[in-house]
Amino acid sequence: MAFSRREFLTLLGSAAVVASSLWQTKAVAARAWSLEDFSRSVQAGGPPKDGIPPIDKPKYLAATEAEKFLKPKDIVFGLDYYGVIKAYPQKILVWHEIVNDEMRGERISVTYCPLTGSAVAFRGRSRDGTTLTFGTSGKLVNSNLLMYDRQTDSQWPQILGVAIDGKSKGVVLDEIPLAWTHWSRWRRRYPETLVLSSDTGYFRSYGRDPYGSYDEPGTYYDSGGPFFPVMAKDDRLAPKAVVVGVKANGQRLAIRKQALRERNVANISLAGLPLVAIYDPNLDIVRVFARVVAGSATNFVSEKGSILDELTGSQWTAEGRSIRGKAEGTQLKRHPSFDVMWFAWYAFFPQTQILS
Amino acid sequence: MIGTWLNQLALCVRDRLALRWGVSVGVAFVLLYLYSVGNIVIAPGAGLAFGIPLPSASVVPDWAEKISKPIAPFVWEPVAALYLSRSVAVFISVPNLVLAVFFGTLVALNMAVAIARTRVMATATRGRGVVSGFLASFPALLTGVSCCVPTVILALGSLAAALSVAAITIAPYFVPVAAGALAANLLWSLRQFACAVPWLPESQVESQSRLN
Repeated sequence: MAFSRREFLTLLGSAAVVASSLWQTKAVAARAWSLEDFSRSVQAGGPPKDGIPPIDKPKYLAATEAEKFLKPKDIVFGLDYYGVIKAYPQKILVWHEIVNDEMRGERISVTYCPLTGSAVAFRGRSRDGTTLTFGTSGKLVNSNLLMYDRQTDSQWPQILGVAIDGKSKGVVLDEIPLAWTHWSRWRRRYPETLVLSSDTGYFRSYGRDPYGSYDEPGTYYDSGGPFFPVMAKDDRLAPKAVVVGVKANGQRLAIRKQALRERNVANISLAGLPLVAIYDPNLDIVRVFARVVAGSATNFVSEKGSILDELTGSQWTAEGRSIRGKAEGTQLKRHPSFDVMWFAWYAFFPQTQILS
Repeated sequence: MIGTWLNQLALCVRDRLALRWGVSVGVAFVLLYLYSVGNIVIAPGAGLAFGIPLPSASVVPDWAEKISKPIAPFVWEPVAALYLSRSVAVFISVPNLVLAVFFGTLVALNMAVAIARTRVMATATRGRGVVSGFLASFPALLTGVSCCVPTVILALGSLAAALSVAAITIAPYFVPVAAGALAANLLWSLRQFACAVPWLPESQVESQSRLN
């Protein structure tokens, strides 16, 4: 088959364009974004500032009262903050996205982004110790909630947890892990839990989720791709696959939650930090801990349903507490992590490693 | 000029059948509009009212602060609620209500004039005002999407995800466009057609229409 010169040049040109776009994708995926990159990627999400109103005066109910409002399979974001046990129903947070709370004398903001399936609590403290409370900017970065703080008006993408502009630019918020679980599971584990009341000071359709349902397959939460442009894409996992995102000293790791359900324990080294991810079947969550016992790094194994460390042979619970052996009574140090949709984690951290 | 239009309008709405239809459609539009902005909620099985007797009414304590707070372009914060059942609630936002009544009135007038026109015009042009009035009112019903654009995109399916950004960009224009289109359609109808016809009693008009 002979090509005319024009056809040949056209083919050559097309090949060059394809090759160049492939190269660009790889190059983009390889580098970490700067704060300016994120700042340039901010886009309107529809509502104005605080159009999705944060809850600033949260009220709480006892579990027995909340039982009338919550169904067993309703999603709650459980918080255990130095013994303060609270549950934040997803059906309320989907309309507010942020709860500015106070616990043990600290400002704590519980945040949830339905578009990226991420729930993270932050300690509201800036670089100079000023307490921070957060609002919704009405904007998005990588389809993710862009918060602003009311004290310095800086903007903070929730998944990043870092201010991308303003006076607080570069400040990193302390993350506090939340348990993304079902109400029945949380209630069984923490019968004394308090539950965020639907008496929020706003009128919203709390029983109705505008984005779909976590119970029914085929809605936004498990199907299709993101609704808004993202800075990077990757198809190694489905866009809405749930991963547990872990950050450590500039490095990032995504743990496929389903993989942890199957193997219970994963020993990780991230940026030189020895970590272990442990699946808790009671709450159906993954917690990450520093895998250091008696001052030494060690590996953990799952044997016949028990979690043991290789250094002392002690037995551990999924909550990181040793219940038998030389280390009995020891508590592993928790490392922050949170559940998030894969597309969003990758868009923020294209250099992420994956444990699948 | 305005005086002439008002006179025309007054003559048109003297047609009682047209007025009745106009008011009915206008009221239906108000309800549809409030539903589209989430102020009328019908959610079977959702359990909207928790821990309160039914039916009941409540007002937020800081209503004065919230009454003019926008939550989306041309959508404001509700400050009161009527819980009619566990699945039906009406949220009351004063500016939303004012806007709904404003649109309802425009729609009602468009409809009344269009029907009055249909009853006396030649067959070939019948119904034109009704269709154009409906088309003019449609953008107003999209106002609700500016509150949660993805919600509408969700309703359209994942393939429509690409429309999210475009929908958000144009959402702030839905209300002004709808108001402008309804007003323009009304004026156009009034200019096209003089209602200055001695209206016959309804029964005779109907038999007259049949003859046409």
